[in-house]
Amino acid sequence: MTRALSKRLWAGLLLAAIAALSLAPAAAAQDLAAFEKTTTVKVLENGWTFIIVERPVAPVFSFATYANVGSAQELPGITGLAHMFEHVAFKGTPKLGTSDYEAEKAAIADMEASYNAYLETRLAIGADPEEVDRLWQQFKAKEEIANSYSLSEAFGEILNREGATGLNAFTNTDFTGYFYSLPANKFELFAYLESTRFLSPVFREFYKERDVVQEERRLRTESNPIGRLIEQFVAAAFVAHPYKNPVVGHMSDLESFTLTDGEEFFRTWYVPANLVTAIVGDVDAEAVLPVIERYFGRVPEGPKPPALRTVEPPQIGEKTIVIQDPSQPVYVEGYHKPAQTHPDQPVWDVIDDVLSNGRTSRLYRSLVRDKKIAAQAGSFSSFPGSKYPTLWIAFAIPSPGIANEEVRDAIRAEIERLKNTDLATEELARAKTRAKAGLLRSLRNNFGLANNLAQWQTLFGDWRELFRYIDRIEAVTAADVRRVAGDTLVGSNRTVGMIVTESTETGQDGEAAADEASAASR
Amino acid sequence: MPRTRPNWILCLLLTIVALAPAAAQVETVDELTYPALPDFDVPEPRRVELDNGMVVMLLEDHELPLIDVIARVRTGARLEPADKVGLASLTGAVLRTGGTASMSGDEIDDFLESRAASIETSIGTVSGSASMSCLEGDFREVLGLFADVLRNPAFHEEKLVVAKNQANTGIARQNDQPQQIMFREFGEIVYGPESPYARQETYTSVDGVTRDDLIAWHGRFFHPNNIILGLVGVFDGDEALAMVRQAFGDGPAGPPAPEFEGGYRTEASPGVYAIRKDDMTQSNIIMGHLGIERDNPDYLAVDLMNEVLGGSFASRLFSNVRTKKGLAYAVSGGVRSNFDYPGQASFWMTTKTETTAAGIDALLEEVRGMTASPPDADEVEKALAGILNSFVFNSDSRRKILGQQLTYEYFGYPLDWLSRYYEGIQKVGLEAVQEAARKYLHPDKFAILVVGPAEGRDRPLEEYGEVSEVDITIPELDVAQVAATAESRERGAELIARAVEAVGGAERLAAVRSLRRSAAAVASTPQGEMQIGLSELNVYPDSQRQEMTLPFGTMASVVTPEDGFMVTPQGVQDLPGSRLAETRKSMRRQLVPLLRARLEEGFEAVAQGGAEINGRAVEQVRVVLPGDGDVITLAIAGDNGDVVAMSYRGSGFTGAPGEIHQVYSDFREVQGLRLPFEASATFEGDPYLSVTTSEIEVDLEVEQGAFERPAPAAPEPTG
Repeated sequence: MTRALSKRLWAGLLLAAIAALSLAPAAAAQDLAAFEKTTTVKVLENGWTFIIVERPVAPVFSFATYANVGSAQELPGITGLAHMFEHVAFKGTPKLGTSDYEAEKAAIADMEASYNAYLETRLAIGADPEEVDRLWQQFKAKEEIANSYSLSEAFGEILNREGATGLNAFTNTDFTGYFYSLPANKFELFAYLESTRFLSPVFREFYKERDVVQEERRLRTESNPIGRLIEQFVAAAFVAHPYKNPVVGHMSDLESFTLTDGEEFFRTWYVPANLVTAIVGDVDAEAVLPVIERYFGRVPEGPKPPALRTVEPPQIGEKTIVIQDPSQPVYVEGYHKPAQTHPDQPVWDVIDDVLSNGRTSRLYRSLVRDKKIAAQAGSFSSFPGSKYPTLWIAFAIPSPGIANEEVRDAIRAEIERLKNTDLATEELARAKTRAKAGLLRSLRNNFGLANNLAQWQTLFGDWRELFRYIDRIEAVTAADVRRVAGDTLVGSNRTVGMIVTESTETGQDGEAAADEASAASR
Repeated sequence: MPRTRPNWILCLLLTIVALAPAAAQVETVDELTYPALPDFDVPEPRRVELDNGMVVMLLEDHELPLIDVIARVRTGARLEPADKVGLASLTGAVLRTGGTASMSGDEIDDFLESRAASIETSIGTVSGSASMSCLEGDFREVLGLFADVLRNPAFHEEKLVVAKNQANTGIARQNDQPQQIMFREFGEIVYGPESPYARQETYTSVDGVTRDDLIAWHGRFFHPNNIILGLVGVFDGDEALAMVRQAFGDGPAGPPAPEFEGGYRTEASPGVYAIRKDDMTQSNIIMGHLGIERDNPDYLAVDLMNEVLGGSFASRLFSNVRTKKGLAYAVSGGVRSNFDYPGQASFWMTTKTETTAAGIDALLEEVRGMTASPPDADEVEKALAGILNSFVFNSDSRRKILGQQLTYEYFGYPLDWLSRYYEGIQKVGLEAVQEAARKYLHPDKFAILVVGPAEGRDRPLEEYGEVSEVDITIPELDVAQVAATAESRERGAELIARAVEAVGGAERLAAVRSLRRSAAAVASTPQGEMQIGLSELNVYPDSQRQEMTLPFGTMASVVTPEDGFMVTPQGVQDLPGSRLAETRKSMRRQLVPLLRARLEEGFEAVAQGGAEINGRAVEQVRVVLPGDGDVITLAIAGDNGDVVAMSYRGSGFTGAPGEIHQVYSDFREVQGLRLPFEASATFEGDPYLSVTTSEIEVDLEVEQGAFERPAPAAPEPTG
């Protein structure tokens, strides 16, 4: 395909997108049809799915690779391992990042045996601390030998030198995503690196990187009041489903899982059929498909990863978690709701739009503008994850001197309003208009579009759901909102989390209490 | 039509060796060869200066049916007076939310959001910004509104109250996030605490900002000749320019914004600074001194040096401190620059408390390493290749290109600055990079700041020099500096008059001699809830006897102008001085004396705007009492003038100072006075007290000796 032709196709998509905004809802399907013309989908023989969108506005491209695995796939003892592997995927391969791979491989195996001996002794009941320490020192010596072969950050170095930007990755409860952007002439570099990183990753510097991940946990969770609250809130909301565990992992697991655990996790979950890569930018699908086949086709097929068995049972009573903390109050409440793939999801997205999108939103107008009891208030329709049944949450950041109870009451009043009164026509229309405009705006960013396509393909098995979603949201009625809110947003289905400011001083002072008792009565 | 910049396109092409793609897959990355980057014309915006001095830049982009407008305004918080820190930021916020002469802020919100459009404004340290985004079909209307917001803002008082509330929330929370503390306090150390590049909003400085200040600030800066406007999107350039002329062209030019010079400390502040924060398992470490300005002739060499030191995953800091040592997740640093004042040369990381000193050592080692083992040819070549190879990303969207042009125009940099950078960076050379490290990194002059737990460090901070503890206590509202406008005072007086009428009228209020309240209170103490039986007798203006039945006994407390004591099961004791003062303050806060105080010299009442309490619309009024200067915010019901809530700074059960917020209900009439029988209070947002009154007696007979000290009990006979 020539450049000129793909440019025209892109323009066709744009015209269709304009139509989608200004015409009746039926236009969305037309929009999708146009977009499909610029889009090539290829499932390799080994099962790896590629989505290529030709958007030749500048000689660059972005990609996102989604592995359909997140912290929800972890068992007790290995929490944090999905995220740990994400870090390992930057460590190189047998041919990148080492001064002598055969020697390194042997040294890593030696180190790992030493670590397992240490761990077994440490975890034994009645462990002898001196023996534990001796084995630890032995492990550290072997670790030093293994790491001495490493050419640290060789993977990042080659990408940086060749002009990559936005090199990073993320892990959440549901997915692990990898991404960066390159100049258009470096497509083969991408194909080489992105295929070899999942064909033969080397778990080098594993325990040093585990230290780094522990620091990440200290930074994001332990030393951050909202991080502490969210971890406890989610743990309180779920009793069975692995959404209850923090993505970053529990500290004891971060101090115990092994390189061997990591390799097993990789073998189980990083089979090609569990991977989707979306590429957006100045690429010619016809020209790059053979390159993709050549490089990514090398990854061997693997057994289908197991499905998650545990289902969160219905909640039967309200739960509350209160954290006494030296920081200022924060209020959050959550309700169990279905997964993102459920037919009611567009209804939830309308609820979120009406409650928390912008200055016209109900929570802003009530709590921030009128009552002036919060600096910020909002909601999220899928938290902490979206792939499995999850939570809808509402939150507020109270103004100085305002109690959590006051923002709670104001949030509850808005929830009751959702259940008891139909949305205004203009509120519903605004939500639909903004959903369409949001999709349109997402099309002007290579990375954002690649990320959306990879995510929707992974979640729904079909990237086209991203566009069909416009039709689904168009069908939402005021009655849907009342039904969904009425069925779900009820006390027995609720978990409340809050930070209550802890006084740094303690001591009984009945006199002061009595004095203020009189003040309060006036 | 957009013109191209052939110079740097040529450079780009020359840099990249064009080779045919390989037919088979390669085994190692070194075997890869790359074709030439496709030809790419970087579009250049069209620049037009209107007769009134407004600079307009236009760049067509026909990819999607969207239009964005961005503006830079010559203003900035560094120009605001030291006692009004927050004025520029509040002006920037209320400019948008406070409506215009023709539309209220709420109407603007509805108008924009129903069209999936937006208009936003803000004022930062060195400039003001405004932006709009809309769908193609709404362009004319939204642009008209955008101009209206910039030219005719109404700065509605109530939206200023919302913005101040948000600013105060930020102040209250400024010590909750460790990194925020680290960067804020390090800024004060490097630039100096009074520097406009470091100083912070306080409750007092925010409180002092009035609507008149906002109007004056806008009037001083928002002239067309102080605005640079950029448009990008699906329009015809000539038509769009005509629309801009229509929207902005008739505005008269005004005085140019003043230049700002200096404003920061030039000498370093070496030493060790510590901030204790115990709810962390890490230390946040930052070290450094002043950096450079962007127009420094060594800027390009410094930029390459930064790339070697901390620019990527492969840089020295990341590779050594994080990957090899495993000391940190977050580590970063470099000699930073700003367009018209120095950035900071700073290096920071977060590491577990037990490796605090190891972390400091690791950062210092990397900084010293830049001169001890200076960047070599290979490092500099890789850094340069990275910059050149990724250069195309500077221009991969038309919005990005327009934004850059506005920035160069605003700071007076050449509009082809990016092309000059591209050419210049290739001529820097190894020696200049090494020289830049020697010239701009002075670890011997570093200030080192550590935020984190005081206990559990691997080695004491004193090893690095004398340690200064930094106090980050949030300053409370300084009442003496509270400001008000003539209108807000007038409205305040009206609200107090309404409250007086609601209580029973001026005459009835003046005649009250005494009042006794009998009540049951529940106190939420740190040890749990406590029931308190209460009988409180007040003889106005200045005597009070409280009798309390507590779980551990009965007590009385008496305060008169001459005396203050407690009667407890253990005997009679003087009220401690602080407690006596607090009780006298609380007596003055009672509704009857508080409203009577309106007639005293020095009484102030300033309207604060509307709110809603327990579903009742209220207007808030801030009262300053004569004498002790106590500041109390009253909420006056819109329907009947009831005082339905009261907030003030008091002390909690532990004696710690904090915000007390009381809400009143169940108003009943007692002998011509209308008073609340239910009250509930919070302290710093937490439940504090609730009081249910069973009886109020007015102008009762006061028992003889109610305010006298009981005679000391006769000693027990001995023997």
